[in-house]
Amino acid sequence: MFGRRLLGILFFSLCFTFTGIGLKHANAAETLSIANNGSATGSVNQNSAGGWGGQSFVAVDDNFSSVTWKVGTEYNDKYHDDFKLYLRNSSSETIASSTIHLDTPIQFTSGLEVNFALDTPYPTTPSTTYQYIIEISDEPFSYALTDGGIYNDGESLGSAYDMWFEIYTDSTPPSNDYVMYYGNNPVYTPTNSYFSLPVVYNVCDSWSTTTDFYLYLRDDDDNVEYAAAKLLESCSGTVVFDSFSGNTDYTNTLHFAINSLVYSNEFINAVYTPLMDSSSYIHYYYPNGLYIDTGGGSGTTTVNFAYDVCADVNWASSTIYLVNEDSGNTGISFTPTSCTAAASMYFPYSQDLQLTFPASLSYQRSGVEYLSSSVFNVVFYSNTANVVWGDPETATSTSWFAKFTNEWYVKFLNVFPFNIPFLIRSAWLESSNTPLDSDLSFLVVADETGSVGSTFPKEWALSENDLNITLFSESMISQGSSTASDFFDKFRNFTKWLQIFGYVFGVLALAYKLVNDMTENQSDNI
Amino acid sequence: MTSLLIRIGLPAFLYLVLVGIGNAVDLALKNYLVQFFVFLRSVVAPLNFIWNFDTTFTLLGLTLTLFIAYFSFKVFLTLKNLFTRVD
Repeated sequence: MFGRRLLGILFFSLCFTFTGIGLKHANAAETLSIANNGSATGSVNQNSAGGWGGQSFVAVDDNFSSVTWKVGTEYNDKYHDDFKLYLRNSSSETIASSTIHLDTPIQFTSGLEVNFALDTPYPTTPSTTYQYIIEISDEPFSYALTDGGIYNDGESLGSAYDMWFEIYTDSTPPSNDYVMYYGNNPVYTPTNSYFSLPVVYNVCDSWSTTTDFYLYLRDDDDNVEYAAAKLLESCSGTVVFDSFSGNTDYTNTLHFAINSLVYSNEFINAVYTPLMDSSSYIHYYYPNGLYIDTGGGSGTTTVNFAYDVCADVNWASSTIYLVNEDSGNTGISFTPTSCTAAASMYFPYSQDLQLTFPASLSYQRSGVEYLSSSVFNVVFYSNTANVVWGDPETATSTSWFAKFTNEWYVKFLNVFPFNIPFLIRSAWLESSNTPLDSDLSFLVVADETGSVGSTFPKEWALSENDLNITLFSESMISQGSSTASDFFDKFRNFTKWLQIFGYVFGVLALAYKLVNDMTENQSDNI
Repeated sequence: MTSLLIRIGLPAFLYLVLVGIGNAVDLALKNYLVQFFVFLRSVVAPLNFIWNFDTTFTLLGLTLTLFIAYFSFKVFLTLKNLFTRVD
């Protein structure tokens, strides 16, 4: 209990201590004085003069509509309510004025902007000189401009004073010159290669036939020039600036410039050492496509390929996948045991698999692809028809049994109930190639490959498109292991004989029971 | 003559009836059965990699046949006893 009280006392003591420090700091601000230490000359549309904390001028459509005073130095005023703004011409005649009322005490913090809106916008004409005055309260003080309209540095003016500034409009029409980089940002370039940077420019306003205009690529930090400047042939157009990337990694913010006249937007150039070099490769052996005959039933085929990834020092933790370029499935994979080899991966298939898809071999590490082969076709095909009564495939088959099942007199062998097993089996096999009626399509749980997925609406997924997420698939369990796939294949075959055995055993047991029952009944009757 | 008709004609008639039923079932039910199996395939497809459903449905058909044959036989025996009972 005592400990808690002690902690409480300590906590509140600390709070008061920090509050005291804060108040003391705030009081200290009131004693700051203001120093005028800048030029009093500015121009339309441009921040320029320093002075009483700094100021900027705002002109709209060549009309002065307001003047903004941007506080550069912290200032406190306890005595005045009103700030008045007068706009005067070079003859000191007031041509517009405005007043802003502020509650006392006035405390201007650095960066605060105080806007004086003129009662009526005042039109300006080029090459005309104006002055304006900021007057505090009703105590106008006149300070003459020094030579050239510039206040002397360090002149202390106290806390209540007026200031005169000279402003002028720029008689030079604005230039339309520009240079703009419009390529990728950031630009990623491998070392020891070239990057090409597209630039569009127009310097026709400044163009002169007696001056050479160069396009420079410069570093933002120290304005170091990258590569040789490019001589411009015309005053406007597009240029592709080519440069060698060098042999070291770096990331720099760059921009283009034309003769220090115009500067482009900034962009980031990242030069990196690529993981793979020109000696790295991954090749498959199937220039005409990989054809797999599934007619013989389920089995496993090999996908042969050769690779060299010795440039990657971490190749031991990598995996080479057979990627279905259509679905993105990466069920089949190979784990390298050396950085360069001719190897093969095992590809299980089943008889009812009729599929063609574009595939590639992908060298990946931690889910990131670093190298891939070109794309080739994987084609599953079967020359053996499933010989089943009623199966559509039998209609085109040339086997004697298929022909037999299509003969008219076979209808007379369709004796109920002995046609039931054929009916069920043929319906089952036909269902593998038949789509569900569109009205019932919502009942479909899994797709042809047995994957159960769900579509998440884009509003939930916070993405541009709806998101398809696989909830269950064989590859989730086998994890791309050919051993696991092999095991599942064998187990599936085993279940076939397990069911047949169970069926025969069941039939025999029931027959035995039936015979027993009948025999007992007969003996009872006797 | 009557005996000959019963001995040959009745089984022949029965055979034709069964063939008729067989073909009628084939025509009438197969499409529905196929649609049902398409749905069933999508339900069992996730386990298809570990279980041979082709065999399952073949044996299911055989089992159903045996049951139907058994009950048909029972009906046949009942009818036979009904018509040929000697008190």
